[in-house]
Amino acid sequence: MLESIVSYMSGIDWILIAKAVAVAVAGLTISWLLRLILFKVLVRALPVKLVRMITRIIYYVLVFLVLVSVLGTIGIDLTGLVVAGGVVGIILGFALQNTVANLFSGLFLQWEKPFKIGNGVKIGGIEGIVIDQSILSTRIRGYDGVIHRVPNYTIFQSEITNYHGSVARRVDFRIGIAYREDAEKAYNVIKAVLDQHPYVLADPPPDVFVVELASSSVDIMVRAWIPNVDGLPWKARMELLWLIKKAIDEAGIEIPFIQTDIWFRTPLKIEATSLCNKDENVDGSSSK
Amino acid sequence: MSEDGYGFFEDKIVVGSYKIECSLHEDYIHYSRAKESSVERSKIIKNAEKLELLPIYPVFLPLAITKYVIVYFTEALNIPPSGNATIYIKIPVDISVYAYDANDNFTVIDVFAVSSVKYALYGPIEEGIIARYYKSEVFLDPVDPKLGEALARIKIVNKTDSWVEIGKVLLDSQLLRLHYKPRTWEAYTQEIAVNILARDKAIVNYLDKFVKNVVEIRDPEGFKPPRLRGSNEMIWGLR
Repeated sequence: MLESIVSYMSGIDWILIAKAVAVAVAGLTISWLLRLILFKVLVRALPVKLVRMITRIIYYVLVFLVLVSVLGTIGIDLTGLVVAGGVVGIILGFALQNTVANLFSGLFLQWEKPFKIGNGVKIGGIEGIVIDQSILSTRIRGYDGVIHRVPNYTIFQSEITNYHGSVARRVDFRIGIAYREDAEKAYNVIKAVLDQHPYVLADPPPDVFVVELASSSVDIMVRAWIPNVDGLPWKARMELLWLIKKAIDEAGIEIPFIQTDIWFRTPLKIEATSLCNKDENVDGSSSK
Repeated sequence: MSEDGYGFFEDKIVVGSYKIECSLHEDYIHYSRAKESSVERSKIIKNAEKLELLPIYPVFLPLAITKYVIVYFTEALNIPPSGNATIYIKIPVDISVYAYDANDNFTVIDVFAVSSVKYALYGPIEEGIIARYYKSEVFLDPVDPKLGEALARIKIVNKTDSWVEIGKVLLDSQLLRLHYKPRTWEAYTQEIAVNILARDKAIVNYLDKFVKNVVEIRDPEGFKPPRLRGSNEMIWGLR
């Protein structure tokens, strides 16, 4: 029994084993160090959660390669494994095509940062607040409360509008006044409303000017800059329209209806008929 | 009717166009603030012992959207190379009502403005900052601040080798300290040093108070980070 063990042990190539152990230890150490360094570098540009995931994937890939190297060192033929790996790789490649596209799009989006969580955005046809962003998809809560999950690849290919990309936003609206009204008076009324509103920025100052002599009205354009915080541009726009309408009414300035003058090429013969019953007189009494 | 000015009040007091009333009960205070007979704020403060009117940093109204205050000068100031100037300007302050319990713990129960509240953008639209806006005259000698204002002494030092024009100053309310003279509406900041290092860089440092016999306000809880000194930068607005 002892002899057989001794003969078995003497048959083992200990140098080969030592080489394999050395390759394993060195490979695992390098993989661990690479994971650490990558984490420290990437965490400066990407979110921690994402970096943790990326470095973990890279680490496991490296560990797999180390394992393959160790097996190769001790003389195990890996041709079959490589062929099988190739086939599996092709199958996975086809199966995970969209996932991989979303993953890389997610990485690019995290790098480029066209929006942040909490920003109001318009992506494709979806408009709302970004509530979560993962490596594969982004969740947007529409202004009507509906939650949309948008794959990152779709976002990456879409035109992105970020409503919170700047510190202040301009709100514009047109106000039409009747031709007979004093435009300067209307200007002063509108300007007073803008000056009193706390969220109409003093600098850059608001613009109020006649933008068009339209068919039914003199159109005044109002442009005001509002702090881009907590939905203030939208709230301020609603408030300003209301306050300006009230102020214009109080000043006795008419906001006209659309008026259309119709011109006839030939004179029209208009026959006036009484609205009253033919049997009744104009004063309503019966002729009978 | 309580005596005018900052400090404790007991029944009624008029602050600008506001009429403030409080009624003391056994274990609560009823507080109300009205403007032209219309009550704008009414509160019951449980276990409160007393109320105090104090100036407050002008960054809470109508919502707290910034910590910065920007004061535009009515006249720009030109300072020669390596020159300096000491000026006085007025910054806006709002009015706060503090409620205290028997252990002197306080809470801010109301903040209101006695002058118009406006904001301005400092810097470009993409990366600038929103700041509470105020336009002040530039005084070469100290003046008495009125209700809703605090006097600030600004020492501007031009450390460049060319003339510099300064027409506004950006202040960080978290580094400001407000002081008041009890039973008056006078409020003061500490001395502020603006060191112009280049046409696109000035450092604003906050020093010590420059008026005697004034009381420093107690800051609302959580408003300021725990630091005693600090500075902010101005990288736009110098010429």
